[in-house]
Amino acid sequence: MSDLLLVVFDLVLLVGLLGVAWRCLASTDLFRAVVLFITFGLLLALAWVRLEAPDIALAEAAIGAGITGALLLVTLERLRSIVVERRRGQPDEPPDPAGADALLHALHDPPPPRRTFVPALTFALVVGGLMVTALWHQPDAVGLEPVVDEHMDVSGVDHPITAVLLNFRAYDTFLELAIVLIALLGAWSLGRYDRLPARPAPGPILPGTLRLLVPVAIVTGVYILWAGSHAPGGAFQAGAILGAAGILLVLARPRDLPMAPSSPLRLGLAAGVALFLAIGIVGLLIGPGLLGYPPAWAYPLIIVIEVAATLSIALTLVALFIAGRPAGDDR
Amino acid sequence: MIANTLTVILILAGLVFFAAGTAGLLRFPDVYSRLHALTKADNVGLGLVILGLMLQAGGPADILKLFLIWVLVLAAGTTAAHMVAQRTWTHGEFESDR
Amino acid sequence: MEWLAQQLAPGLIYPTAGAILFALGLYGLIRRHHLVLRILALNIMGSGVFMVLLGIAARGEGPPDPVAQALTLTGIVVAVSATAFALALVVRLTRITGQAVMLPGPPDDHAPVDDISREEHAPSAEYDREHRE
Repeated sequence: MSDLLLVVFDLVLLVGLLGVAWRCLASTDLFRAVVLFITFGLLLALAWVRLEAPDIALAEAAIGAGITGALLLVTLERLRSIVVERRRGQPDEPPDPAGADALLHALHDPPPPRRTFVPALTFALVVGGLMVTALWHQPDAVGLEPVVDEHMDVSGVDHPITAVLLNFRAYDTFLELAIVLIALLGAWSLGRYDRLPARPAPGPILPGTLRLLVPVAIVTGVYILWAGSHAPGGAFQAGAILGAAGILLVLARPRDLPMAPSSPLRLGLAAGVALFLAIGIVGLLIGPGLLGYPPAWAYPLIIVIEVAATLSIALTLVALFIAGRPAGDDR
Repeated sequence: MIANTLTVILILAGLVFFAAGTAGLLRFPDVYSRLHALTKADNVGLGLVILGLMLQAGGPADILKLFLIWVLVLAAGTTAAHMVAQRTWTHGEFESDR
Repeated sequence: MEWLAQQLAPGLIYPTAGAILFALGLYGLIRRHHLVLRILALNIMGSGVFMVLLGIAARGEGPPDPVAQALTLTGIVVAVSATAFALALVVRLTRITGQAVMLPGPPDDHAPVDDISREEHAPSAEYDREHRE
């Protein structure tokens, strides 16, 4: 009976996910598409819980739904303000090359032309069909769970995912932190900090709530970071929560962001990668290999790296939300 | 046994409130009445669900965590609803720029 | 009933749904023109891949495969940073061309290239006036 209920739950969830994804991609109104995408992220978090992946569900709810949603919404506002600004144009100037319907193009996408329908459908059906066939014929394998389980005692932590992320496959995590940093450098290379096209919300409600929520978010973030050594949680989830708190703070006073001191900011952004690399090289010099730790030292080293990674991820997410180098930089 | 029955009753009652709130969100004509339906009904619904889950909790720590979840959702939901309502008040109903 | 429940085990239907999500995202990526929608389509494709990974990891008895879960966690963080960078590029493109779509035709190799990295964007009307000639 309970098996059947779970199957019904799975089916409803998956049909909902596919439906929301479809509505999102078929929408002509971008705002609607973004809201549907946020909904999609929240439903996805439920699916991860169902697949016994609470770590991923935490990250998906904070990053996939929360931070990606905030990034998309602020991008839509930026596009709108750019196009409105362009359209306002001066009368003695030649007409805008983008044409009168530029506003239409900024936040709306007309229904696609009919001629792309058949090729796109064929291509998607073939790729999807191949994937489904391959998945159905894939033999059942135990995966790497027993191997990880066997080596848990040398990993320095008690939570298998943290052990994989920061010990067994530290390469992945190190390169991932590097990618996050590179994405920020790419965004910074596009120009200086762009004023957020938002007005501070009038009234005491938002500042009051933030005064309540931001300390709670900081405590939660630190708790999740610490819990990562023995339970679901860890640097990514904690970084995402702290980053979300930072984004809320930015939104509370979008017009007068405090000037970030340049070198501490850069140090904080690079802390995760730098410390990870430094500890990795020490590991190479004293024996266990690049990015390896002596088992006795594994736990403290992992904690140090995780703290630095959390700080870097949180700062980078806020900087990516603001987009562009800080004002007053490199004059 | 009594705790289990109570849990089922409380959660079902909570789900009824959620369903009512969602129906209001979908069917009501303007932003304010939609917000009204959504926030009121969902807060009570979530409260009932949380109360039901508290009866199944393993100890005081779990009960406190569940309570914290309820308070945080209340605070976040209230703020979000307030901001949506304020935006509607100053800018008018949201329209697509179609 | 038992048979049906076995056929619809999470280890099978979640990867299948993941593959469908991937195909759906691919379809949207090809057909839609607005770049923000294309970024959404790419994200949906990524979510499909994560679902395949996690669905396979949850197959069989015992706890799920932690390596696949760790990979997915890494993937989510990489996806959000790539998305943020892509959105910054879209904003930049819109600032230059006024449209958030890819323009048809090959890029103009002889167009003068400005050093964009030191520009100030806040007064965007001024920027516009300068660059519209």
